[in-house]
Amino acid sequence: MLSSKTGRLISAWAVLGLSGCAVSYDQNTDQQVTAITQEGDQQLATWENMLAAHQTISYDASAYSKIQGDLQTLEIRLASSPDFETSHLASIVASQITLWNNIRDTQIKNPFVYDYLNAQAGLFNYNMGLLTLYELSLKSGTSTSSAGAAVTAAKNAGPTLSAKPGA
Amino acid sequence: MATDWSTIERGMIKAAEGVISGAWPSIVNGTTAAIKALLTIAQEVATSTDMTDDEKKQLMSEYQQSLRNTMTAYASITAALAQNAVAAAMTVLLDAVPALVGLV
Repeated sequence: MLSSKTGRLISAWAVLGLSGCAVSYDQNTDQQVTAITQEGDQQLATWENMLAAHQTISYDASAYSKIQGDLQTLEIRLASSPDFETSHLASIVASQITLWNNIRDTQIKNPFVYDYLNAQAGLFNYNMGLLTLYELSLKSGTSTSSAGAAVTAAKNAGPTLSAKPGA
Repeated sequence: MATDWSTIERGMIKAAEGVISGAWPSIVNGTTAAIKALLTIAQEVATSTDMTDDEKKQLMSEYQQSLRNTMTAYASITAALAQNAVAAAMTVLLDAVPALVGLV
């Protein structure tokens, strides 16, 4: 989804090609964001595919422990950044920890339904997209001071909801 | 009567702009695109017949947080200002979509 928006992403960086204090690129943070996005997407897609095939989804605590732990590590890393532009993005990660806690609590109470997982996948991707584009903007060096450039591009991409199976 | 999501989107953007005021030009692109993109989540919640009210409440809470995340990612926007802007936008949404009342 994001790749199809490359043109707009570049435009956003160009428009916002910014001045101000330098924000340093952190390869470890970038890799963590990518890994967590893949991990979450893969888990949610697996569950959606199981529902589409009318399979039972058993509760598996390890599915949650891994991504929650990884998100907490990322939150600490971002919050520890010396520059405000990066450190205040830790709140986005905190909201994703809440999202996964909510998914876990829901599964404990009721069997998953497709609409619910699909909407959660859209929200997860949207927020991780904010962080991904921010890291890409730092890596490219086209933006030195504004998460806003990444936000603009990520917003243009937006969440994509999948078609409901059988609909 | 069918829900006019385009009108809702414009109303939410106008409401947020009214709160953000002077800082609006610096966040207009990201925020308007976010309101538009995230509205798909509200539509899913409003129209789904499979989700429980608890699940819908959870998603609407995360929906609002995602809007706040978008605004506060701009260093110039404080958490309090984003909170107020999202509240104003949500008022427009709830006034127009009765199915969401009680879920926020």
